[in-house]
Amino acid sequence: MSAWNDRPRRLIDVDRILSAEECESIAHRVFAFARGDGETKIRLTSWWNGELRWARNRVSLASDRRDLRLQIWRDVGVGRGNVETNQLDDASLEAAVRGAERSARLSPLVRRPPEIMPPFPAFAQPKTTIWADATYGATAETRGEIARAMIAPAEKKGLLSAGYLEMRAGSLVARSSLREAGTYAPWDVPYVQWTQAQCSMTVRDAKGAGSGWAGLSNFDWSKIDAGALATRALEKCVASQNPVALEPGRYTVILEPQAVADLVEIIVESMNRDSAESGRGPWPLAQDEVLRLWRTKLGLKVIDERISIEHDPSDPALGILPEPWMKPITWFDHGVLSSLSFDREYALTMLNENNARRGMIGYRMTGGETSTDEMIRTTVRGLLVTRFSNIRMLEDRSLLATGLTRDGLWLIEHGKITKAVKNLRFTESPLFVLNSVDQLGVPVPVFRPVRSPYATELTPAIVPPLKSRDFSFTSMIDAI
Amino acid sequence: MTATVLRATVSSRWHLAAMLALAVVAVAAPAQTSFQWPDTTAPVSSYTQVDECLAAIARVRAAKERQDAADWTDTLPFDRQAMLRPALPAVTEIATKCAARFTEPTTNLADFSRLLPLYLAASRDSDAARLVARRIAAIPATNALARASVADSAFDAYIHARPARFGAAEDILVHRAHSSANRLERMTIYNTLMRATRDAGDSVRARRAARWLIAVADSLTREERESETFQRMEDDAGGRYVVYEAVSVLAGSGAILDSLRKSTAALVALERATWTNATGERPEALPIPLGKQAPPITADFWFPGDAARTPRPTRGHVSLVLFIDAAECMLNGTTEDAARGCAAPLVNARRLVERSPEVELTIVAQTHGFFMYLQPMSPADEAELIRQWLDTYHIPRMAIAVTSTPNWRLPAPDSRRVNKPTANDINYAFDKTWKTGNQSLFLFDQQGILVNAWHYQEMADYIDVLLHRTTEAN
Amino acid sequence: MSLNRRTFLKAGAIVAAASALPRPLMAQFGDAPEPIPPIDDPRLKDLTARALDAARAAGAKYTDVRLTHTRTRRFFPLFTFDEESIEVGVRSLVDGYWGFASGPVWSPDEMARLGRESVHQAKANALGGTRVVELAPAPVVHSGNWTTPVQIDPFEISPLETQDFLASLDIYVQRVPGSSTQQNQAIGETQAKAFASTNGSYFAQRSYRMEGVLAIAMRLTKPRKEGGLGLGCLTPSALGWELYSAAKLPLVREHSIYEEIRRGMEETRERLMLPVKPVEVGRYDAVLDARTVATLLDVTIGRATEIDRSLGYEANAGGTSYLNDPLAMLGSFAMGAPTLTVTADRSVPGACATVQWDDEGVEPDNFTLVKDGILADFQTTRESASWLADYYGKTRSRMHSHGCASAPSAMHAPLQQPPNLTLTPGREPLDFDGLVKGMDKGIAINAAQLDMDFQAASGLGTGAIFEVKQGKIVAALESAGFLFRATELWKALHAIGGGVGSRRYGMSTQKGEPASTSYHSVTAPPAIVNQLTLVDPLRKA
Repeated sequence: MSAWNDRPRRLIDVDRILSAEECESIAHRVFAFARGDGETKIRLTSWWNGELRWARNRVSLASDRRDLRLQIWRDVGVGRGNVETNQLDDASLEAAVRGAERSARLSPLVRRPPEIMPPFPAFAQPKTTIWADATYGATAETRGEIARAMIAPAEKKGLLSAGYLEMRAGSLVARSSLREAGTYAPWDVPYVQWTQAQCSMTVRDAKGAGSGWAGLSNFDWSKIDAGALATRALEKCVASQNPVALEPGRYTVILEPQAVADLVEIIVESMNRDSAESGRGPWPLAQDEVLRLWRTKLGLKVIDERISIEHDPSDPALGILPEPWMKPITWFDHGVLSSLSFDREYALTMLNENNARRGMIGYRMTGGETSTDEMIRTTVRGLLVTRFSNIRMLEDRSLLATGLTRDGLWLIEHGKITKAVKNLRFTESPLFVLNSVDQLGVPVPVFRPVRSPYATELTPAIVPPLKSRDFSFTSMIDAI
Repeated sequence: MTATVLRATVSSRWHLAAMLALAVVAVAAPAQTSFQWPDTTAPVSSYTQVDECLAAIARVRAAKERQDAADWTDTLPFDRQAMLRPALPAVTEIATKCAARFTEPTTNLADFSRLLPLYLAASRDSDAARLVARRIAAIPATNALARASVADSAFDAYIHARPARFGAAEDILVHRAHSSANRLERMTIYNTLMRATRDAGDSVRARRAARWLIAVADSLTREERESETFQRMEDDAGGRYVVYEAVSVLAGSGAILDSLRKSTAALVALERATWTNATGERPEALPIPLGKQAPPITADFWFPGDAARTPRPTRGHVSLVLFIDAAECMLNGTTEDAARGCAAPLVNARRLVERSPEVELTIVAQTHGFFMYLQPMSPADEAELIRQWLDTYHIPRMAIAVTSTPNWRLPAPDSRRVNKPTANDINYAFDKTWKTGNQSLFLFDQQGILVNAWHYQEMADYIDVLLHRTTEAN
Repeated sequence: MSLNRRTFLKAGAIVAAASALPRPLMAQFGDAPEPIPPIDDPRLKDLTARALDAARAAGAKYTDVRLTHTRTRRFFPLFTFDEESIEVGVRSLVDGYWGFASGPVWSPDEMARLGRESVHQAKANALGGTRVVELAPAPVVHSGNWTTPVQIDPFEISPLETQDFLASLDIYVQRVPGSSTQQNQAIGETQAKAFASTNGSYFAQRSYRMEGVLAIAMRLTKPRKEGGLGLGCLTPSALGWELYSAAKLPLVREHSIYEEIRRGMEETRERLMLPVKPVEVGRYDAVLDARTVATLLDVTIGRATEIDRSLGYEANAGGTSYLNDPLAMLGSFAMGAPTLTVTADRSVPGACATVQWDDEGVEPDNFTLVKDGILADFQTTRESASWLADYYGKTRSRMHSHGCASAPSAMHAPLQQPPNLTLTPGREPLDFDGLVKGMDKGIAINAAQLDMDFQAASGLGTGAIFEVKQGKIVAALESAGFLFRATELWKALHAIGGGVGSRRYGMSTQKGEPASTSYHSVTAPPAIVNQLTLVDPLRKA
């Protein structure tokens, strides 16, 4: 075994990511190197990416990449220090532990273990996993075939497609030397592994006179219909050719699910108790002088009553990374603000609950039955939006934001799409949009991939299309 | 005296140093191998900016404080002389090296507020005096306000230097007194000097400062007395309280202990008379519940179970009552930033009890619906854990009274818990005249009369007098 | 540890870093692992050769391999954190298709695996339609060696010293009553890289980068006002600790950092005292400070002249370019006023994109993107240079890569990324104050934040915007912003500040799928543009 540990760890002839057993063994080796008493903690992530990118109808790069990150904390005396490395052999681990100890000696904070440590609550193993063999098992050849199938129709029409396919897998564990394997403090992370896939495509005409896009992300590659995405991107490109200028102003908009998700993204950041109860963001209500705290809009109707936004961590169709003790959360219950996120300390002291509540990392939004076609049919004058891009929040009290439409914007007149329209800049608040809803459609998964290989929070979303009134577009742009 | 719970914030070193100063006393840490302390040989001689020198000094001070915190300093009493103890050799060394490149009278006066503390840390007091003189001289005499401001920062530097420079601080006050400055400001400065010198045991200077303070207070106009500044003096205790303390200082702590030796009633009468003397109000207006009868401590859970066979505080005993809120003492949710925020009052209580076996100690605690990272938690279970936690301090003959905190919840989905005061909170507020909270400590005589609730450091002396008085006066 | 702060590293020589961390990171050359050697150790060349051989054997037409050893140090006033990692990446070209494989292990077996895998990835796509890749020639580099010249290696300086320095900034800020630092931290990164290609090139290169944040909050009492500032001299630079400690840094700051803080706080105080007026929508002549000009340059011309973006290679990510017909536009498209000249380089000392060789082994050259207002060139790599072959042929210039290939570490494949950019200053020695003095009526804009569209064609700017009257800043405009079109803006360039007002700012770019980050610097003087559209960005339609 020691010969195996001597060598630079090879991730090749075993799996592409670290298994639970491997992680446990690494944890033990790290703990064994510690000098002196005091807790040792590790956080170990490993990832593998299979990637394929194309542009101008030809694959430009296909990759297989993998790496890992090991963070080590050591308590020495009253200090805590940490280092980070990506090497797992004995010599590297030992040196990293020494580095963490040195950093601990320089630590400016006085921290000590508490006087007593009552036994931790029983560890509740999550029942779901978000692992799909379809994602993990997809080979470079598979990705190549998929890409070629997506490209072919666009190329045949003389259009230029660009796109990206990514299948990835990752693992994470956070362990402490104070606890045997199988015993977890609420802030440890028992070993978990996951997969995630994304597929997106942009089709443009050679002169840049039109552009269409479609994309989807899911932990399970088999749930992504690449062909359908390619067809949609192509259709949008064709339909968006030679857009005409349109006066900015307030319009009824029909937002496709992706566009809705792009706007709701602005709300996601604001959903925490900490800000609201400090008087920041959109959710404070008023200061209660008697109780000396901020009352918030929790319990008040803040958006349309047909809309609920929630998630159930054990919902396999959604695909949230499972954590122990996670409960289903409803953030908006028929329009009423029902939940804001908070950390464990807040949960214990302010709510007498035993776990943190996460924010809107992955969510499911209710909708209705109205199809997008029906929405178009019932619109006298309005705009159909594919998605938004380059969004920035301008004001955190109202969540007023600005951004651009992209990859397809069409004018609707008297129940029909009449022309493709040049992209517009909007200045609008998603809260306003969700309060001015006319019709809602059937919720579907949207494109919401994780940005970094080290991110451990997958962010799926299931979102309906909707029609909303008086959406504010403030200027026109030439970019297509 | 509120609990100072250390949090892992990246804050200015100055704030950190102040916080660290409070968290010194600790219980025995588990046996550890020793480890080397950080290398204090950063090249301070080549630092060109005064602020860098101060940063290095603060770093070395903080390192020493951490070292103290790590050692088993359980037996150290509150150090009255802390302010006057000579500077750490490491600090003087760093300060001297770093300050070597700065010489009077060639330094830049713009660096005054930083140079002065540096000179004092390097024991270059004459240079410090020269700098102050230069700085004041650079301001035209007609600009009294600016001069007063410089004098104030010099005064601050002298008081906060280690060892504190009380003599120089006094001299600056003379300067200050000649300017027609804000009387309330002067009163505040005299108060700072009086408290610092009193706490350091320099009673001569403390009395002098007290005299100046009283003189200024006597000259205040009605407007000044009713101003917000006056009301908010000394952490909202108020200007009247400050004057009362000055009168007490003038009388000397000996006088208070002498009166207590005679009888509790004599002490009460003296303190009330002092109040009248200081403020002109009725003796009963003394804002301290001195002389009041100890309310019986109530609890839902007693440890040991029979501790309240007779009501506590028990008649016939000198009694200490210490309020400890376990939830405030610990950071909750994780052990990530666990720190012994309440070690000081608990160790202090233990020391008092060990010293005088006749003293009875009751710790008053309350439940919050969780304990550290555990929830759900019944009041009985939580009380038991509080007991286990307090047991680690090994306080002999400790009795614990745990009340399940009455509370209500904001309506769902907010659901925040709002605590209501317990019976002990209410009773020990003595008809809302006293602010009781975590770490509040009360001392009652054998008849259950309150004799001290605010002079934490003097509890040992008071107890000695009460016990001695008991033996003699029965 | 030596008490000598100054560790001079001469360009061209690699000095093995004295270990600050207890030595970690192992590589395997033979049977047993050993601590990784300095990047110029010949055994690393043998390792790279294994990868090249394996790729060649598997059928690659061209292969390059990078080994990187990356160290990052995060500096705070009270503590210092270290991260360290090693990476290796192999890229192969087969029948016009690129394949790439990377991982964290330096060993002969792993080199061979990555070599084979990179070819496997390429071949899996070579089954598609033909793809032609013509690589512009790159001279062979024979055992090259280069290091970013820095004065003070941030990894050799005592962490206690850096902590004292950063803590002293907090203490200095507190000289002003009511002021405090909200954020005070720095990051230093050094990367040692070994590069080999089947062309026969091999070199070792070591780069440094430092950046910091100092955000100050100010609270005035008479009158009651609150404001803040961020120090602009701490943007990323190819420098060592001198970013903080130097008495002055050309093009970055003219004074010590303490003096910069003092001046910045003084200016903030003055600005807080200004009356505040609501914005009146309209067109105004605008004085833009150097930072605003640099940012505008970066997100318009800087982005638009990325040839891969122009031709749709970023279409599915960041977008395209308004220069959508490069061959037709080169030499004729009016990018801006005739006074506008923009040059590009990867050679200016202290600028983030400065290297001796890019990540394809090409020695970058200095080139001109915009000459006297006309589009003159694009940013290129070996592959993308060939897309402009016709233009180079027409102008009878040599087709070559400008050396814009960059990868944040060997874990990523090289991608075309922006080089350093410079807006040629004007002849008059005018700085920002000088330009304001010369303006009778208009606005002044400091440190604008820009939101561009996905063709880099138009955008919205917000920032500190002031009213200028008769050569003075007289009022602050509340919640003001401006809309602009890239070409219109640069054509409306009325005056360009002189070199005395030029400043260099480090910028980071995220591009590609998967996202890949790179750093480059933009140097620009302050300037005046005419008739900028002022808006209230918070106003709805």
